[in-house]
Amino acid sequence: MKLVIGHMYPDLLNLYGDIGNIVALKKRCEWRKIEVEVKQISLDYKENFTDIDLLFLGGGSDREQKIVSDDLKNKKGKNLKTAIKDGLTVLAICGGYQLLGEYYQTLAGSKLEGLGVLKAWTIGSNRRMIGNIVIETNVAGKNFKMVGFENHSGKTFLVKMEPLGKVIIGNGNNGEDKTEGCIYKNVYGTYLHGPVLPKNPEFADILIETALKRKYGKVELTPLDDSLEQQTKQSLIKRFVKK
Amino acid sequence: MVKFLSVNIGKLVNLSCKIAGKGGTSLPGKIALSADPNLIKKLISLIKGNKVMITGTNGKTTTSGLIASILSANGKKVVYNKEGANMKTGLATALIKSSNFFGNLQKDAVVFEVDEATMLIIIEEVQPNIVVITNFFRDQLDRFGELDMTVEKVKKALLTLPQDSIVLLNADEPFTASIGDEIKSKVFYYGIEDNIEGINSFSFEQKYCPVCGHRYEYKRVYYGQLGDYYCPNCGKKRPNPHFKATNIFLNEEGINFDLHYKDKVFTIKSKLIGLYNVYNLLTAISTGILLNIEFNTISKTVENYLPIEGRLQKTKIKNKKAIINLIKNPIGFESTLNMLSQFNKPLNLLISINDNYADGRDVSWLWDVNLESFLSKTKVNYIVTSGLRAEDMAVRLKYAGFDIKKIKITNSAEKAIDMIAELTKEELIAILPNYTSLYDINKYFKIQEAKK
Ligand SMILES: [Zn+2]
Repeated sequence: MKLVIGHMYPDLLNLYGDIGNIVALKKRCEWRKIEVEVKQISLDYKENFTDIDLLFLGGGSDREQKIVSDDLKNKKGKNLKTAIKDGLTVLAICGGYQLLGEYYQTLAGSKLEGLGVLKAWTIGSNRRMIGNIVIETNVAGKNFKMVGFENHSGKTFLVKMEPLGKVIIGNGNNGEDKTEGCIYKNVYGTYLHGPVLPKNPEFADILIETALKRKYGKVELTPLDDSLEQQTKQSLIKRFVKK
Repeated sequence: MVKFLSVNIGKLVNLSCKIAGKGGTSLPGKIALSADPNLIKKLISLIKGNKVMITGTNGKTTTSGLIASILSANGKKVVYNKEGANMKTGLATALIKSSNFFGNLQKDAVVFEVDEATMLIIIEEVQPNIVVITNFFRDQLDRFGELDMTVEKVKKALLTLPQDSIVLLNADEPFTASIGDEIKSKVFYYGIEDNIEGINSFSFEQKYCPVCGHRYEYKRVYYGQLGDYYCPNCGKKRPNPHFKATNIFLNEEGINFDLHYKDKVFTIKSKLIGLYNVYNLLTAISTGILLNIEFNTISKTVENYLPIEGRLQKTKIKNKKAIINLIKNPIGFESTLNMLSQFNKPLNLLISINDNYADGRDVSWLWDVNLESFLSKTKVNYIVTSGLRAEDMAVRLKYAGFDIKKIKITNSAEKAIDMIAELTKEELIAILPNYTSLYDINKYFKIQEAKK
């Protein structure tokens, strides 16, 4: 078995240890003897995403998001949308998440167009939502808690879309409706940095399994010893969630 | 006559802090500033000339320490925030400690290391003659937002300087160098021109040409995004430095290099270690030359200068050799690891990571450190992780391929030091704490010292 990870715009969207998510996906495959290839997908990418099993988009600064937004609109958008409709697994964090929505409107009023696969829109605010975050989620029939660190000033609102989870501590999508992230088909958008996958191995494995299933049909992942990851997660939940 | 009552209040607080056994690096200033918000400006206005401000992500503390020593050796009485408390309250504290009870500042030179985010306020108060910028890296992101914003803030602050002031910039760091295009002050650049092997780094911060937006390319990378870069599209390139370091020689004892300025070549020797200290030395010496200090005075000071507490400090734990070095961001962490692997000796590590306000609450940056490369080329027997984020660090090590059976986790600094000593036979111990962890580690050594 082989998993091909597409790291989208690694030179433009690479904030806050996002690379840790790629490291986690890679390692969790290697430990199971699943072959992994990481392809860098940047402005010069010419394929149509049929060569990719799992796509990752991180966050970037405003200027970099503008470059990405233009590239999606003018070049990659159509093919990417087709691949997503066909079931491509995508993890999009923070800026990458915002870019999959309909648009991002800055405080000053300018609008940055998104890919529009998520029925969600983001509006700039003058309050930075920053800090540790704990959510409860129910993905692929599994119920578990996730921990991370959020750092965004954009408030995201979902329009009849399923959130990734419910906020226990922190702000999540907008600091108002207790939702965090968004799920559409096999696309997962979230504000959780940390990075999110090493400390939430259940989520990492769901992504790997979903991506491999699309390619190979039935797939069962060998369980790994995640006691260190769970210990880390539990110690953080204990610290941040006051009873 | 008591000039400034607030100084007096601050001094009393300083005294009571000493009695209470706390460092008191910012509390006296905090209280004095609340009594008189214009305190810094009033005290500083008494000093004419020789006012140096240093900012940037890495190297501030060592560079300002060197500059302060150079000025002292030149016969100046220097006020300097050497405890590294670089917010407004820390500066006020340094000034209060240098004043007598009558509010007279008994000094004639100022060396301030200043936080990037507070530059605008502090420049207004200090009116420096020289502003030195080391580099910009991602650091404590949850406090400053994004790197571009930090650079913009600093640029905005520099635009308020009088035109006869000097700004000294790192030519090799594209974010820092780009500032020189837009300010009105007299700009000088420094940089390395040597074919020394650079550091293979994750924390490369891609920079785009400010003229045409094309991606910069590199003829040479020294560390992070520092190197000899150019724009292949419009031809913009690294500015030609006024101060250049060539013939660099590095080992675990120290650094030698040649410094070129105008048509002169000076030989520099130092006991500091590692490539990033070449930048610190180059920056400090260039500042000394710009302050018209004689070269002999500068070179003697530099040669005798020893690292400050927690900056590559050598020590012993239960008779075992140890080295302590502060790590506070990916590039600092990577350069420390790079230097350790150059020693070619088996190592045991103690890595202590806190997430207090001063550290930055977000520890995601641990994943931006190329631990994989370090672990693949270095013999490391055990690693103890400690601090509030001991577990996070352990997970990072697991995913970097380190055997988890050889990782020990404890949140207590004291227990961590005992553990690492217990585990160590012949290995060199390297203790790598982040900012507030360094305080916990130092406390341990102070208690040990007191027991003797
Ligand atoms: Zn250009």
